[in-house]
Amino acid sequence: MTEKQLENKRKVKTIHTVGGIVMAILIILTICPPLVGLWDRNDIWIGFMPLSQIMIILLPLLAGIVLWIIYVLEGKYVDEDITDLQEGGE
Amino acid sequence: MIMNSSVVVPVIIIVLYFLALLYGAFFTKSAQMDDKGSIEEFAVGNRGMGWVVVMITMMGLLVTSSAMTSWFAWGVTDGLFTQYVTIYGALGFLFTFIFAKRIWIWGKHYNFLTQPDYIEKRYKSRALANVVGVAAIVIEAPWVIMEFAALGYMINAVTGLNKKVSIIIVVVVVMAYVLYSGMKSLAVTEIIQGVLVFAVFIVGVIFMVYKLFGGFAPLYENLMETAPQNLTISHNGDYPYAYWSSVIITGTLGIMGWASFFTRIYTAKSVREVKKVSWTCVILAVIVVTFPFILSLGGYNIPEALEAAVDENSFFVMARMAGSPFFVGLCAITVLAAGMSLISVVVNSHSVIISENFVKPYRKEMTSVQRVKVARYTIVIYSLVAMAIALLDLPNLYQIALFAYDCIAQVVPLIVFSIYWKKSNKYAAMAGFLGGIIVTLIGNIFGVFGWGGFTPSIFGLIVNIVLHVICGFAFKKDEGVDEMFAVLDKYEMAKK
Repeated sequence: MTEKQLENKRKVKTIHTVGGIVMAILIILTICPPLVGLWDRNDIWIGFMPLSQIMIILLPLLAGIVLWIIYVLEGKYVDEDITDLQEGGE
Repeated sequence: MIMNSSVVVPVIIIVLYFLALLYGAFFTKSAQMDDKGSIEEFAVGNRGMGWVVVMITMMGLLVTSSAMTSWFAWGVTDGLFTQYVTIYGALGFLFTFIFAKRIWIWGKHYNFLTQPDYIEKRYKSRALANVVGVAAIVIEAPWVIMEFAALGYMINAVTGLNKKVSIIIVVVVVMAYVLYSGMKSLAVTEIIQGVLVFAVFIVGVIFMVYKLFGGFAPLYENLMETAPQNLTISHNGDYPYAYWSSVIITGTLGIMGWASFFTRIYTAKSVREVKKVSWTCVILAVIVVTFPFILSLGGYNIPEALEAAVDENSFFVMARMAGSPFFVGLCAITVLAAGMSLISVVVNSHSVIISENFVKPYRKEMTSVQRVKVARYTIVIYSLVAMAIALLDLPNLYQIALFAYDCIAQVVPLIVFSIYWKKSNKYAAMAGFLGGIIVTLIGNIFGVFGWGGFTPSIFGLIVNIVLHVICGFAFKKDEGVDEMFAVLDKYEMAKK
């Protein structure tokens, strides 16, 4: 493996670590019972929706956006477009 | 029967939809199999599909006809809780992003066509592969039966045609195009169905919200006045938050547990395509699933829709009130499309499992063409058996299907461990899977293991994982596992 490949691998690892932490926070906010209790409110409204509805839309949407960012950044350092794996080797 | 435009127009639209599907499957170039007609082409479309097709088949796991019948009606009566579907859909596709790379690389390298193919190779155990294969078919089949029945009822509700005749028509159409060229024809029909589903679930629903309620703001404000509990997940304490967590966890794992989930990944032409599918599906899950459920919230304030929730028919009642017969017809074919999409992919996947994992091992001399033939016979038998059960008008099928989802989730720990942990071995996989299934079955049947609002399947998952880890350390790793992991290193993808 070349020096450049090793460096790219390190960068991808960093992207995955940061992305993983953000995802973990979003998932915990979404399914951890005591935290769900904090945002499951119909007495707080943002715009025309109660907070509970906003969060049900916002949390997974944010997860999707973070995933898209990871996908784009990953694309700079790894080549996963190859359709024939034999060509992807060292 | 007096035929008026409210019946004739939807009938014409449904007939046109069936004709469009059959034309797409039989006469478009991309649906045709090569002259050789190999099993790889039939089962996974030669692993050459772009992200749009794979995305639509993936979304088919989430956007089913039941979503617009049973879950929609549930949303009318109980409000926000039903939107757990949005969350588990998004999380399921998020995990697809993580696991897809290894599943796809091994699938391509070893030419896997089914989930049991992978299990057999990874654990060097045909017995375990057979257990997982049989479990997949037994656990997932109720969904196919339920969808057949739901579509039959839907056609009956919209057109007045006899329920049983309606079910038979749906079965014949699905069987015809899946039989013709398997995944190749599915690629075409999925696009037709996907475009319809996305258009009506988003544009159609927004139209209905404005027509029936005057917009989203009045919908929420009115509901806050009449049923504020419907704007919370807990529904005044009816649903503990632990239950919310349970259904999301089992739903998320359930998406990855479907045997056809592997098939969907194998059809993609590269790892990058699968990852693109994953993030687009997370965002689409939020948009496509949430819009109809927001509409369902408003149904509480429409007496006819609330009443129709008993028959799970609220969506069509609201569609009739909002639009012309043409619009009702459009909604009908959208629900048909959602159901047929799930059915066709699952039927295709199960037929290949039966052909490859249960027939081929005993008839090793079979050529690729003969294997396709066996898969086709299987599709006919499988579809007819499913149809016969759907025609029986069985009660509680919906509950069986929901319970099946709890069981599907028990497959996932062994898949995750097998992908990332070399010490995961056949004994660990078997003990964990059977332990998890047994706890889930006992818990659901006898109403035990449901402490603190968590469902029995969560305790099943805990038992599953604990047994897997203990046996992973207690027994030595399977032969050939190092070689499989070395394949991943060989295909290192860091840019040079």
